[in-house]
Amino acid sequence: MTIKYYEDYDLGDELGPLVIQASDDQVVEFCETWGNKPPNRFTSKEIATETGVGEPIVPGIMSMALVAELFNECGGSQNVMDIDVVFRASVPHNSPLYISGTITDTREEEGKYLLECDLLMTDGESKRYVIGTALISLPSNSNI
Amino acid sequence: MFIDLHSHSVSSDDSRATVEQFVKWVGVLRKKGFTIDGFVLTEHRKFDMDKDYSSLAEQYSVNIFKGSELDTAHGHFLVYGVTEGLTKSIDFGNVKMDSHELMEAAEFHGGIAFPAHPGRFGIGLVEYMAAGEDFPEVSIVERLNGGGRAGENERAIELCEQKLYLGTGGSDAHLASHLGACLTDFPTDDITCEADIVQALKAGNFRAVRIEETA
Repeated sequence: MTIKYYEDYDLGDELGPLVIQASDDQVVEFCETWGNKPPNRFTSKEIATETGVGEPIVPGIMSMALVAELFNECGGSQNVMDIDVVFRASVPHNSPLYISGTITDTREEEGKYLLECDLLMTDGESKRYVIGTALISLPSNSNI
Repeated sequence: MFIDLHSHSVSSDDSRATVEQFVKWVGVLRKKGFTIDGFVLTEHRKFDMDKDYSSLAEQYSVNIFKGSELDTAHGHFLVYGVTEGLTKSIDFGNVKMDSHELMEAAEFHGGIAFPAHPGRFGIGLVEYMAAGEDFPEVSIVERLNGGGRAGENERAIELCEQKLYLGTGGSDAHLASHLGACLTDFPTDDITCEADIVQALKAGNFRAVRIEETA
């Protein structure tokens, strides 16, 4: 993985898009690891229909994990200090999810080199599944 | 002047953009060659009477105005020129308020209220018109909304053309980087306060534009 530094980014820089899918099997595996044993509304069409969501959806916490994959291109999710998201629409299984970011602020604070980043997960067109922001801490090349 | 008439800061519960981030984003847009002279914070179901952004506006040379986006029984309505009198006569938190009463009250108190994203599927004005509701007070709608899904702005444009409505533009930004996607072009340099926006809207001389048209 290429090391990325704070100075590599500027206001308005874009991350991604990262295009991924959450398969049925991946959602089942996530739910088992998470401790929310299937079948549930995330894995079963019958239960999803009963609970009013129609189709099985990707759990919110899994969507957040998928969004965090965006930061693999800037050093990995260990650099993410905070993610704050709003779920605008149910995230479907087996559909392309386009994840992108935009740097909206850069600053040094208490010895840390921080980037604020807007986050967006869409269907690749105009449907927004998740919006949010992330705070990322990167090394500075001034410290090399 | 190019003004984004529809944006939400963190004062709205579903936004993640601070006003500081918005003004910095205005700088990014200007650096890219686009023009944006100001934006209106149209917070959901409220009006931030006590918030004062004048020092931030001066620091970044951008006009920051305040308005509201209210939920009604006929979809969302943008409100400009909000006064203390209007906030006392209308319950801004009532998500089922009568839109006709809202428009009448806004007019009475020197403001203006009109439908936001009228083409939005499920909750836009187009849906209520199709169900038989009549809106004789409406002469302006939001023609371009930056948060519109495929087909929604097209429905708004069609509505404007069918009814000869005037149309505004606003980003509906809930993130800093979405600010300015759509704007309203007023052919004047004299808009410095919310009352000026109301006056310019009532004068009817404006058009909705996308940011690319401001370069």
